[in-house]
Amino acid sequence: MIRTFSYIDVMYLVAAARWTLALTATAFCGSALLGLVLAIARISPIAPLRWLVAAYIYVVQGTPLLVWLFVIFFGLPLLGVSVNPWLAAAIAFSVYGSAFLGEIWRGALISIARTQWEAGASLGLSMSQQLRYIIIPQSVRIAIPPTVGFLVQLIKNTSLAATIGLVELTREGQLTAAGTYMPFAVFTTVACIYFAMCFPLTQWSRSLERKLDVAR
Amino acid sequence: MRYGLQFRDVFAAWESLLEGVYITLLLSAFAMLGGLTIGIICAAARVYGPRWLKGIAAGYVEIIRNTPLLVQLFLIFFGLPSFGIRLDGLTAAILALVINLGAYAAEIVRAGFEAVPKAQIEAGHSLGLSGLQVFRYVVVFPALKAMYPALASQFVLLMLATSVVSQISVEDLFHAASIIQSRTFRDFEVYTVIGVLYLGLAFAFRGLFAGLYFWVFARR
Repeated sequence: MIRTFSYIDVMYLVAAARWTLALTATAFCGSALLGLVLAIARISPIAPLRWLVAAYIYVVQGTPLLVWLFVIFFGLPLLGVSVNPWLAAAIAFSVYGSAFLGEIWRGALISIARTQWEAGASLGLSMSQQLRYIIIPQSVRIAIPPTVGFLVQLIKNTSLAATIGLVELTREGQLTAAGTYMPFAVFTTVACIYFAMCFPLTQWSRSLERKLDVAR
Repeated sequence: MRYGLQFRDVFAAWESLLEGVYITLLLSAFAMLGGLTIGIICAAARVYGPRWLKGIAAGYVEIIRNTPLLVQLFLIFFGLPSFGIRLDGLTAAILALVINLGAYAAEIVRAGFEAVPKAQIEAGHSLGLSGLQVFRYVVVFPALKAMYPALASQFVLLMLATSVVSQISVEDLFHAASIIQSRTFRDFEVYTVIGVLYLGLAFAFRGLFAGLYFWVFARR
């Protein structure tokens, strides 16, 4: 029987949004860990390491996220890991996100003047101490606005996890649309929920950018 | 479990892959042309338009940039028929991509025009140039140069994002992969192969845009 699209369906969609948020959080942690390593490797004095990471970023940014999702979803079983949409999505988003976050953070790191490194060295700090106590604290303020912007991209990208059967907001929308036969109302609601999650972040990123820029 | 990778069946279907590449390129080309046009109109509306038009353009940009492309695509393909507007997959895909890219292009184009220093425009006026002449001789070239890199990388991202249209059964490269997968069950192999194909396309796009940049801007 075809049911109508009612208040309870809207509530179901809102409830499904928590899986979108959970996936975003997981993916952000993975991207951040891997991205930090990539960003530091990109400015390391070891040339082959820089080239390797540059190649990784070039390849990841040159392939669709959808392909990564499917390659990992179908590739994991070949390594003997059982197929699990959550795991596949978490890995795919981490791989994909790290390439973008790595570049954003590298940009923040190299925007710090060369003299700051030299000042650290002249105080007798080691390379890693310079990075830890001088460069990273200064680059954080530059990195925050684009990182929040990246978070918006991530929330939107998690909609692709629906294609490997992970029931998050978009997938729940598809299921509800199939059940109620009211796709316009359903997907408008879905779009509104995404907007409600992304728009505040977009505005926040913008105000941070203004504030941190003025404060300089 | 031991699994031997076999690419033979995937490469045997090279004709489907080639056709998929063609549709992906077609979608990208239409989306770029349409998206850039909408972007320029919107940017002009946001900079020079009356208040209400500014509001509409800003609203469009914010709504599109804060919702996923996949949902926009579903809304157009599955939602519009409720109003009697029935589009075939390819038209719906192009429409969604154009609307999506338009919003991103609008922001890039606007930033490009705002990157031209006010003093240069005033200098143009003080030399007795008309508004149109200032636009033609003072504003356009530096603005294009400022927006070009962002626009080029947005185009590459768009080309990769077109893979989403396979979800409404448009027969692009990604869809070709799912067809081959269902025939051969070589899922890992086929998605790896199209991954490499997308990478090749992205490489070609980047090369083309870099060459164009050199040809138009760097030679002068």
